[in-house]
Amino acid sequence: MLLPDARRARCLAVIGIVALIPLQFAVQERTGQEPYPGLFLPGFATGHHDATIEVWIPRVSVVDSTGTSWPVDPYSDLLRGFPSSPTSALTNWFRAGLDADGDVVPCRRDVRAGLSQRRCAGYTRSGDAILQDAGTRSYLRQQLTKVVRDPERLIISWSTAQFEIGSTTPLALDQQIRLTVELSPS
Amino acid sequence: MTAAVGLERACDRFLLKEYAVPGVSAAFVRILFASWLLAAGAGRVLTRSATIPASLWDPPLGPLRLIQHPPASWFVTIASIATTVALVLLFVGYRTSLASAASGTLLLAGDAIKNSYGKIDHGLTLIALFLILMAASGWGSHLSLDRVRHARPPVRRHWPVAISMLFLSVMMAMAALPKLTSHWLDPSFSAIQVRQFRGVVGFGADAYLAERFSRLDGLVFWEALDWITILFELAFILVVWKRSRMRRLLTIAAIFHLFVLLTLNISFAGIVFVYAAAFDWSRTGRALERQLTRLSDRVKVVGAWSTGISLAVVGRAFSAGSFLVSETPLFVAAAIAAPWLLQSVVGGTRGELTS
Repeated sequence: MLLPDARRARCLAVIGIVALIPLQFAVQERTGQEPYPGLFLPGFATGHHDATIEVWIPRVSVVDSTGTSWPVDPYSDLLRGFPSSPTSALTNWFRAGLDADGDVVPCRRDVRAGLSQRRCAGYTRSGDAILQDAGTRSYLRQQLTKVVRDPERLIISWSTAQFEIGSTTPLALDQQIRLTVELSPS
Repeated sequence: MTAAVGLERACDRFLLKEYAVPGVSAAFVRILFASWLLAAGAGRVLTRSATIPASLWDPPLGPLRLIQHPPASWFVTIASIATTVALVLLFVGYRTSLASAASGTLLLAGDAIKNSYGKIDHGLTLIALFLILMAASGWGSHLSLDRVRHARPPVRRHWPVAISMLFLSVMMAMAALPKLTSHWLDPSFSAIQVRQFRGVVGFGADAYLAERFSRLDGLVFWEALDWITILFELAFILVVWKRSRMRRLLTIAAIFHLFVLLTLNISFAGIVFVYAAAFDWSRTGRALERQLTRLSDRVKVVGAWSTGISLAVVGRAFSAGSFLVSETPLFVAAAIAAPWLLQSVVGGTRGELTS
């Protein structure tokens, strides 16, 4: 019999949904991507723990036409009005920039979870190109005019900071990534 | 009886009986859920993506890979308005099944587009699926304009809630598996502590108790949280088959989500409405129904439409950026869940939520 009766069909539906667990997991492991529509809640990034915790901290500043540098809060100034998803996306692009030697910096280098590393490969691939895209630059310029009148350059840096457990004052700050985005329309 | 027949019977019991609640209870959840979605500006999910540069368009593995560019602005506008209209119809209970399916489908599409800019959020998928599934549940059988119109009452079906609970359990299991196969349980560090600390010092997730929480030391404490999280997430797929156990776990989950909000500043507010569908709210629903029967049909119709439209206007006007960050349901759900859980542990399960 090719078509199952109603009871069998209902049972197959239940089994099919449960089978999504290994299926989705296998796809994810194989492709390094989260399929969509997916039924996946995020597995948190991991780091390391001994006496200290190492955290990557973003610093963003904008340089105006007089050469003056102004600090920018990447979350409230630069990305105001954005929903959380593009906010995270943009900060991921920022992190996937080039370092001082011009090498591509892996996204979330502080993350040791294999899954997160693989998912970041996609960000790293095109992050810098996307930041230098005319559309992105135009958007960033438009956003930054809320901070300074004539934004010329956006400087994004990521530093690693060591924190002692129980304290939010960094023991040391080591700049790892510095990325400059020219904002002038030309 | 063969094992196959036994399995089929167990599936039938799960789908058709296990999560059965009266129609008035499902209707009450429908009204609460639609109210929140409207007031939180759910219809604006798409419009908030419209300002993002097209250069960020990079859909994940899925159907949107077939589309090279983000949707046109006219499509975004129409889809956004249609979502809000469908949610108003769901709230008032006018052609409820169609409204439920339409609002779920539009939210799922909006979510898929929103997730195509570099990062996937996870707060909306189950909500959208739930709305689509509940279209078949007949949750417009009470407290609805369909009822006032004396249209033929819809057939009540209980499998949509059961399937929703199953999807929820699959989601939770899928959250646990990557943790198990990565370094989440590495005893040399605590994954939650690092995530929590990074939130506080790295990107300003220091609201509520987060900053104080980050100062707690003790690897045993943090490592225990790592384990508890995974056990909690895996528990769903084990207990979903029995309603009484699932309800107890759902009340724990409501408190868990509030704890996550307070300490990690991560909000999964909408999910508590899906949880609510597994409980029996018929006492509250009937009380509301009794109040409404005192009103004339004309007043009911005018009142329902004006309330629904007002919620939509408020949501669209004032809630930009706040969807899924609207945290009130988490506080309310935890406030309801905590005494219920205490009562169920101390004195057996009685009362509104367990009938």
